[in-house]
Amino acid sequence: MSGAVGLGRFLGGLLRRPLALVSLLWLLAVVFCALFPAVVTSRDPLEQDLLASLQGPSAAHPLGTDRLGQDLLSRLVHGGASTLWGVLVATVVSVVIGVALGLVAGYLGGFVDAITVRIAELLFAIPGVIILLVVFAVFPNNVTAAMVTFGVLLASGLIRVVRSATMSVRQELFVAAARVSGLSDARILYRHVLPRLTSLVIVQAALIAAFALVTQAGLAFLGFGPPPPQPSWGGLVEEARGVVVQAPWALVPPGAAIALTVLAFSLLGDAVRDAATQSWSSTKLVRRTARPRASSPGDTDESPAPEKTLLSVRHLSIAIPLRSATGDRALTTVVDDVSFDISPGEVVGLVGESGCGKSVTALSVLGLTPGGGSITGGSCLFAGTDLVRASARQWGEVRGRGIGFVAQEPMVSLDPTVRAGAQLAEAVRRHTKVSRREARQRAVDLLRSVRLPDPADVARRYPHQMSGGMAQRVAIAFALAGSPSLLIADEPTTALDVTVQAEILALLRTLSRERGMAVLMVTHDWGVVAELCDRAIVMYAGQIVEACTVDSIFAQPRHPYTAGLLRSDPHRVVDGERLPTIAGTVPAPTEWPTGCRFADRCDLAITDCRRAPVQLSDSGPAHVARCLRSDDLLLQTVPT
Amino acid sequence: MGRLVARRLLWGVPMLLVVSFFSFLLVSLVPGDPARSVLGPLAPQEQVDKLHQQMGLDRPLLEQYLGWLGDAARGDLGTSLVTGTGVGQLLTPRLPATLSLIIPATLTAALLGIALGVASAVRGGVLGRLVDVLSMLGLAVPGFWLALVLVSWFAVRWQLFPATGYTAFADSPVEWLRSLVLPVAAASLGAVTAVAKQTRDSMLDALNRDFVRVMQANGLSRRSIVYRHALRNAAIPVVSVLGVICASLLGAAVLVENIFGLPGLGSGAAQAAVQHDIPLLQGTVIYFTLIVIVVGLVVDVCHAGLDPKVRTT
Amino acid sequence: MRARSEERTGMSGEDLLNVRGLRVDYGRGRGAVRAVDDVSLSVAPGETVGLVGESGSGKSTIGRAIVGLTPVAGGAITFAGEDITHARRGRRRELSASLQMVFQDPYSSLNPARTVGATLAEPLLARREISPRERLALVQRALERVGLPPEAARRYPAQFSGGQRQRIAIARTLVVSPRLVVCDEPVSALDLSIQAQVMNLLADLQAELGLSYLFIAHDLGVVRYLSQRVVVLYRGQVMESGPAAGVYSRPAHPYTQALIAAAPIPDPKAARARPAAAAPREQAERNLPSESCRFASRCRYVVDACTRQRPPLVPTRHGGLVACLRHEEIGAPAATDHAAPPRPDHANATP
Repeated sequence: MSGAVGLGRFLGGLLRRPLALVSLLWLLAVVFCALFPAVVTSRDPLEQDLLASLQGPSAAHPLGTDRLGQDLLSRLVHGGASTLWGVLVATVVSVVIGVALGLVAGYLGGFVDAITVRIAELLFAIPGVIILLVVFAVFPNNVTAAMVTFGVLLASGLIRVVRSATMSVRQELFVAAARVSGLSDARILYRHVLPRLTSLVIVQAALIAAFALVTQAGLAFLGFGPPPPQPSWGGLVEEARGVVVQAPWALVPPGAAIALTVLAFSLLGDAVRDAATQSWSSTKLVRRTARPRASSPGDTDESPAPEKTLLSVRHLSIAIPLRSATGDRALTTVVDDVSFDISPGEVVGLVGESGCGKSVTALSVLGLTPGGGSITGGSCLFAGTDLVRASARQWGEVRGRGIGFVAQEPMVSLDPTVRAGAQLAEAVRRHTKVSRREARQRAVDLLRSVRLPDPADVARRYPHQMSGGMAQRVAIAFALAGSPSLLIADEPTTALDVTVQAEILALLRTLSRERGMAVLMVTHDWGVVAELCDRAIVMYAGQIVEACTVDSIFAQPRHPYTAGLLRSDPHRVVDGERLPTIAGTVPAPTEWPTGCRFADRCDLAITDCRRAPVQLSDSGPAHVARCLRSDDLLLQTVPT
Repeated sequence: MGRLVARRLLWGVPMLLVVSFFSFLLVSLVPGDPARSVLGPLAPQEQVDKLHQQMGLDRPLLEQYLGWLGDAARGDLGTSLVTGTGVGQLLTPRLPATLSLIIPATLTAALLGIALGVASAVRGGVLGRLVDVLSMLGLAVPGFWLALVLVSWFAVRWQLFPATGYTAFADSPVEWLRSLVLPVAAASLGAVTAVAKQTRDSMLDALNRDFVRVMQANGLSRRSIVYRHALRNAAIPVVSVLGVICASLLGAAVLVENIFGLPGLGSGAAQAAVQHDIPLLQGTVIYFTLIVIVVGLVVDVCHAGLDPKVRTT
Repeated sequence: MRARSEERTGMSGEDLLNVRGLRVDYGRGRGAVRAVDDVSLSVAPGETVGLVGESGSGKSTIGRAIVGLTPVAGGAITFAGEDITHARRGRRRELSASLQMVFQDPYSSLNPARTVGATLAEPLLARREISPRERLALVQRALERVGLPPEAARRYPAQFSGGQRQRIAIARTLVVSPRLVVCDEPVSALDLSIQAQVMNLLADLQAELGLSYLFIAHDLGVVRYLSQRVVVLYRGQVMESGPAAGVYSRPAHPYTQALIAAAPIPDPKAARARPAAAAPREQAERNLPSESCRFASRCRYVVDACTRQRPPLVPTRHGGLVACLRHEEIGAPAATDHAAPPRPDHANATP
């Protein structure tokens, strides 16, 4: 069954981590010692030898002796049992209570949930160690009773964690899908919820075990452990305390035993967490790695930017560390030799599907390549500055003042803890030297300029008090604070409703005209391109495949990908006709072919297309396309 | 804000009730006669019977509890079985030493932990790994053991600080400070590392949020983005962790006060447990619960200050 | 089975799905929000009905109520002649063989920790008479039907692209033999070139298997392409319904008109030709009496009467239904001509 396969993968992943392996071996060794102390040492832990008191490590006594000449190794090994028993009791009690209550509360919700949360809150607020002292006062030296109580108190954390994890799994669509598939609650819990909780519970259990161990040792240290002269780890520390002046060494063995065991628990917990997420999320971006420096300078002059160009991107290549199909992480080129210009006041659409590199290109122009990637070649000339090699001071001049930026999700692109007016005022003060009061006034003016009906009211609001459209207007106002001459907008209307989208598009058009501000609009929506843009640049698999005016791209696309995308738009299709499609999917950056990257999906592809990289070539006035057969494509589309 | 405080205080009432009832219930679970276990197996039976009656053990549990509750509401938490003094009179003088331990320890944890966490999140690299190692050590090294190591070095070997004892602030502020250095260090090591780890994680999380990228792209200064915006967002979970730590320091206080001979609530409770002084222990439970309630209140107020969603809903 | 009703009143006994006066509330007590308010619709066998609206219109809630994921506060849902409004879990389990759902997000609708085969077998687990071997065969046949290799059953969702995942999600509904599939925005999370593939797949499956669809979407263009009839929702209420082509080319309700006018036109000449924005939004949504047209605060044609009563659904000349008091005056062919009459002077309009 798949469950067993998943478990195998998970365990395999766990044991490949050296720290996890060492921790596991240590814990097994400690448990073995506690169960079979006589196998490890032949000395009796209670055998006294007053002539050999307070000795350091020797062959006869590997860890030395205490005041009564008792062998410390033997006492340590025999003392493990009571300590570990306490840990086991507390952990089991905690896990049973925590998982049961957390699962029930999270899955059922409502009244049951409200009660459980209150119980957890109460347990959490009870001062644990004091309650344990009460327990010891009524059950002297009863470790089991104390650790059962402690387990109950510690369960509160687990209840919370399990509850919120259950709730978030329950809200996943796959649980809804399972219910629609007719699965019973018990089956859903077993198949979908519990597997997601396993690693979480193990991590928490490891933490609880670590905490229980320290607490149990601390209590034994205070004399509430097993009655003397029975050894326990905490008790050994207490015995060492009495001789700390004469023989400080005695502190080391019990301290090391406690610390290493706690360490083993928490390292194992961490490893379980990492292994669990890795076993099924195989294709994820790796975390940031060292940044390679931008290379290949000086290739900018071969196609000089025309006069009066605002932004001139030349041969820009960008690489991001990606995990390939085989699981290795490697810097992979995701944007390949991209060149384009934007003139003052011009609105340019950067069009393509997800994964084609359009957002990465736009963000890299601002020096904010996502995913730990970096620019590997080319240049971005903006108002005389090459942004690829810009210093921190130059960025200070460009960002906000030269180029403004609007992101896709309006609700998360504002700081949730600061009022809209204060965020805007901060941006204003960053870009112009004005007083605080004047900045506040300018903030309200900015809000008015994005056509918000009651700007003073909006200025007082926090992001969570705004609608999506309102938040996006505030975000646009934020980008306008430094009066930039270029606005880069990364899918600014994708997250919005259609009617709100229309208003935001209209606003962007008006702002561009009023301020003579150029706009680089990243979008996947042909409607947005047609409504807003003067020129369109189409990207596919990291390359520009076509660039021209909006009118000619809609009338006469010269690349089969553009033509195919336009044809498959349901808004343009004739009623009753089957939707024309492009077969297959966009290849991942790790699987780009050497020849034309679209060849595998193209009806017109010939052998030449796959042989060598295809260059961008002129296919009309101010129209370039990366296709060997663009004339044939024209013949094909003209009749319709 | 006022409503928030009122709600938290109101929630404290049932909490006190449940906690105190729980400690009563524990006592009633004792096999045999608690009076006997207090006085030991050698005490004559009539003395045990007298104590039995004095403790009210001949009455039903609920009645005992309600009686105790009525007295407690008037400020009378009962009398110590060992000294015969009022519990309140015994505990209140012990409060300053405990507060002198846990408040500086919490502040140390907050300042040092947040500074370490922010630095490792912003700088990354070696510092980040250092915080990882430190937080592992902080969790693994038991505070009471560390306390003994500190004593053996700083007090016994180098004699920089007193090994035990407590000087009231009113008597000598300098001595007060000297007597607290080692206890606070021992109690706060784990706390510092826990706060540092939480700060780093939530700082990295905040720095990866969309608004940080938008602010960067629109030219806000790095200092303002990191310290004004990201830190404020990251502080919300850190404050919760600080609350938890402050409460758990009460537990650590029992051990640390014992080792350094501080006359606080914790060392008093340990002694009371050894002597089976149950009324005194129950009183300590109430004192500790009150402190936890106050800590919760402070955490809530901080949250309201940091997070407008808490304030406006 | 219910006796076939004699009169055909637009929604007849031949309907596979019939929803009458559906109400769904979120929350309890005074804070409760009515997400769906008195919605009626029907789906005939082999038919596709489109359910269109923006966020907050309650369109997804209706879909979830039909498959039993959301409790119903009022009204009735009839499926194949049986009242399933408050069907219990046991009955729901049996119903799952004929009533299925495809969700919007193909990334979260498949459990990442389970193989595709394990996920696809779920609808069959309720039926004990099917052996594991038959189960595998059914799963593989469903995968082939949506254009995926049978080996896909052994792999995890993370190894598939978004479009492939949505095919897998569709395959999950096909391992049983459903009669109605509720499609909750099945293509809105997909790229344009993939969107067309999935829409064609849905059309092919309908032709092959005689499925009925309730197709939920925010995009009238997508809905129009697949549906025979559409229902337009706004804040939990039906604004307009009727044959897809008619609603799209001759929208009778001001909201439908605004929705069509707002959709960006992928044709630069047409886009330039039309006037600027549609309904203004930001000053909107002020408090209205509960018995009023929900769209009144955003409507450019609003008159006082609109805020005094909830407009009833009345037949239009083109075979649809519309909930607007002034639909006869304003029923302009909005898709081509946007020069609608301006907002009338209140003094003149008050009767």
